[in-house]
Amino acid sequence: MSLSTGMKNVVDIQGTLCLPIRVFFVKTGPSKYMSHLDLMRCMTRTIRRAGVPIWYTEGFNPHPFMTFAMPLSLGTSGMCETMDVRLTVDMPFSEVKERLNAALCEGIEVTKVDYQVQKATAIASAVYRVTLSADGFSGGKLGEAMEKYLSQEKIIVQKKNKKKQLVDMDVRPHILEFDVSSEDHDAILSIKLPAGTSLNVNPSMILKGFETENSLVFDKCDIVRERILTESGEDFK
Amino acid sequence: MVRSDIEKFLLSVEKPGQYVGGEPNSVVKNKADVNIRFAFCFPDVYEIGMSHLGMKILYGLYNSVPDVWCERVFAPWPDMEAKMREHSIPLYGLESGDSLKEFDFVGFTLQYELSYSNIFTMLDLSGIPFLSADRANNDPLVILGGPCVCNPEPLADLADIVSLGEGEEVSIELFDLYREHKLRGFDRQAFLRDAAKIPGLYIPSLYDVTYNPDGTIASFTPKDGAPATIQKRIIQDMSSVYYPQNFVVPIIEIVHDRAVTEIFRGCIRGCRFCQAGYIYRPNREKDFGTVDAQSRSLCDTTGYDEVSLSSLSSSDYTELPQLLDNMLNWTESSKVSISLPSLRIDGFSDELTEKLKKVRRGGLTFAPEAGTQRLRDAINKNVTEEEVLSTCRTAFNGGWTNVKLYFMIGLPTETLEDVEGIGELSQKVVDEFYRNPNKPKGKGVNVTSSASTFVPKPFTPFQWEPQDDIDTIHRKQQYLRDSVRSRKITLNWHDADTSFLEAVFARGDRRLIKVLIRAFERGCRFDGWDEYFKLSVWLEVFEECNIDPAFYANRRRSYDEILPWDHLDYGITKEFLIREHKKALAAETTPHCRLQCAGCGAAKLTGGVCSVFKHRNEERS
Repeated sequence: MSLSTGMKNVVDIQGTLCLPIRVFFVKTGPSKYMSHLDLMRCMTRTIRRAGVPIWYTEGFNPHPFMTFAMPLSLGTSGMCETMDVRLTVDMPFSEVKERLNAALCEGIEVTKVDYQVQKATAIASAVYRVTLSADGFSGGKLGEAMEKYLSQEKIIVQKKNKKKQLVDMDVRPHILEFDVSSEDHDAILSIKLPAGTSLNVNPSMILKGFETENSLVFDKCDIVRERILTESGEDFK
Repeated sequence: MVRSDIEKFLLSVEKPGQYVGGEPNSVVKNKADVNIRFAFCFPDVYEIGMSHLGMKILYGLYNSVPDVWCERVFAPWPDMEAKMREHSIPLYGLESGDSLKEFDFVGFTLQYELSYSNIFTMLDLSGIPFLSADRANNDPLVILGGPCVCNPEPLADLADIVSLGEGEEVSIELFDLYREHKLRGFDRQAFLRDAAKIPGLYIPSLYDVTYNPDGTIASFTPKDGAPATIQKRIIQDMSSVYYPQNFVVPIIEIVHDRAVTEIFRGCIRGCRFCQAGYIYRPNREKDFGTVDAQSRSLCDTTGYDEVSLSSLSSSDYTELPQLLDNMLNWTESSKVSISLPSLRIDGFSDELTEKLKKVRRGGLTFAPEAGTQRLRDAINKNVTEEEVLSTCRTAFNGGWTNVKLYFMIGLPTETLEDVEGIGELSQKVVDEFYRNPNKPKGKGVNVTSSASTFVPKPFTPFQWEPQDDIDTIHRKQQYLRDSVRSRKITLNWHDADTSFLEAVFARGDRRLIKVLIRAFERGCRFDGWDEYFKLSVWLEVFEECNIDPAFYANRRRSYDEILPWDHLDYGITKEFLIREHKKALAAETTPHCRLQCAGCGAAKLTGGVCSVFKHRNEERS
């Protein structure tokens, strides 16, 4: 079988086509309030509405075979989310993208459909952009405080362990890079943190630590995951 | 669309996805093209309201009218309500984010008496006056619909308009009238007087009520040319009536997260405790080809992989085998599962069981409702113990090991022997399992018996009956607990307190509005939710308002008393209900509509010949 996409034939046990593809999408606006479970349900239905035939598991209770490399926390936007599925018909990637976009809900948009070039285990870090404001602070002042907080030798924050107890943790060694700037009332933090299967650091626990340390509560705390990177610092493909 | 002013606190409330809109198939229109804005309000949370079929139908229908824009509104959880008040954010439509005050109509669907307090929260958050009399010419018109409006009297002073029965046609007529009045300069009172001329619309402000010294109603008088009785509306032909081609697909999980198609309205059974069995009469079926096509189209447009066939008693659908055959043709290949709720015990044939195996393998739920044959006869639940047991036998043979049984406590004429019967019947089901040579190996049986508390409802033969008081219910529940010993039986019972309040409002009158307002002020919210319901607060409010709730819930009414809903005509006659009530007291049954017409009166709604018989005559010819 030769495919319009040029890939060699990929079939399952029963001989039906089963081509692993990676759907890159952004998740912003109202859909950032979708939990990961919600997202999976939403994508399953979107794919059905869109008429993009995908491979189902063959167990007692067949369900769409679908994986996400890096689940996103509720409330965080993502610019480089990925969903892996397997196509069961020969459909050009451009058509998959168009069909999905026509069926998707507000805030989710497919940016690219491609092969699964790397494995999810290749993911090493993620870059977040956080827009912050707090009552009584100018953007500059808030930025300064953040700069000072992140430049400490030790940054003790609280993290839930597997038993769901809060434990102290020094997050400083995990902050790979950061940069603080400001715009009017907003401070803008760009921060690179470990991500992936072995170690995953969520920016919200650092932000919470900052709030506690400075006895303030953010008015705005808008977190966007802008990039997902591999060990070599390239975008995950 | 997400209102930008809620975003800063949205992550601090539970399930923020319910407040942002933007779901697939939600309808956003250009305000410039719209003449009528309708806020469809469901006085409970998103996950409940979004599961409701009536809302999906009317949302689709209203939005199919080019110059009407219907939006959805749900009750915010108390955490969200607090945040909205803190930040002065009005209650808004999910599609536009606009305050309810900007709408022409604010419609509430009344599904459950214990959601009434939420209506006040929702109006208050919108800045709309509670009472019809206090609203200005340009305030939204508050319209009520849904099953509970068969006695809307506790909310009569709140409603500008009450819509009785099925809403598909009457709403369109109301919109036409509104458009007309808007063109010639809108005058609220003139509009309401004209609306009263549309069959099915009840304008409470056009009626005066007086009371006797004993608290019962002395007179109910129409004014300004309003009709003395208002008849509910029904749809004559279920196969041609509007049905939505798509549903809004929620982005967060809701209670019934699936496609739904209606197979019929009304019910042929006439179980005497069941309000739905009377107020939706007569029974009208949708033909199976239409159901099949609508199910398929809904699955395509929503992406749902489950479709539920909705009705009051699925196994009474005359074309069920054909329907399932047709549907299985496409559902299996497109990986859609069919679910068939509300199956009757006696409708569970071997043939049907075979088909159902392909359909779904959930738990089995049966509702014998009462523990002894005498009481089942009194409530006209025409099901015998042998039928219950033989159905369970069939099910156990088919590999099922979980059975749920639904019962009621506090039914009229109930004795302790009947209560004990609940435990006995549950035990017989357990025994049936162990008697079965083909029982699944290595598995035990689990029988879950749930006993809810009976609430007498308007338009049922039990509308004159007192509800057992809370102490009596508690005693009966205790007796039931003591009578069940097997660990194979899990016993659930319903909180008697909520049923008591439900009984008060179900048969309440106009004087209860002050109780509802005061309860809202005292912080009553989401009374249908155990974590929020506080009977003690309600009792204090009744006392403050000098109203005895037992007058409504626990008093036996006489046949000649004027009932608060007597001016409403749901087709069925009072004479019929009295006949049925007397038969109940004598433990006599009434056959279902297809066996023999009981002369309930609903035939007048379909032109003198009941649709049950129309259907049968068509089959014969």
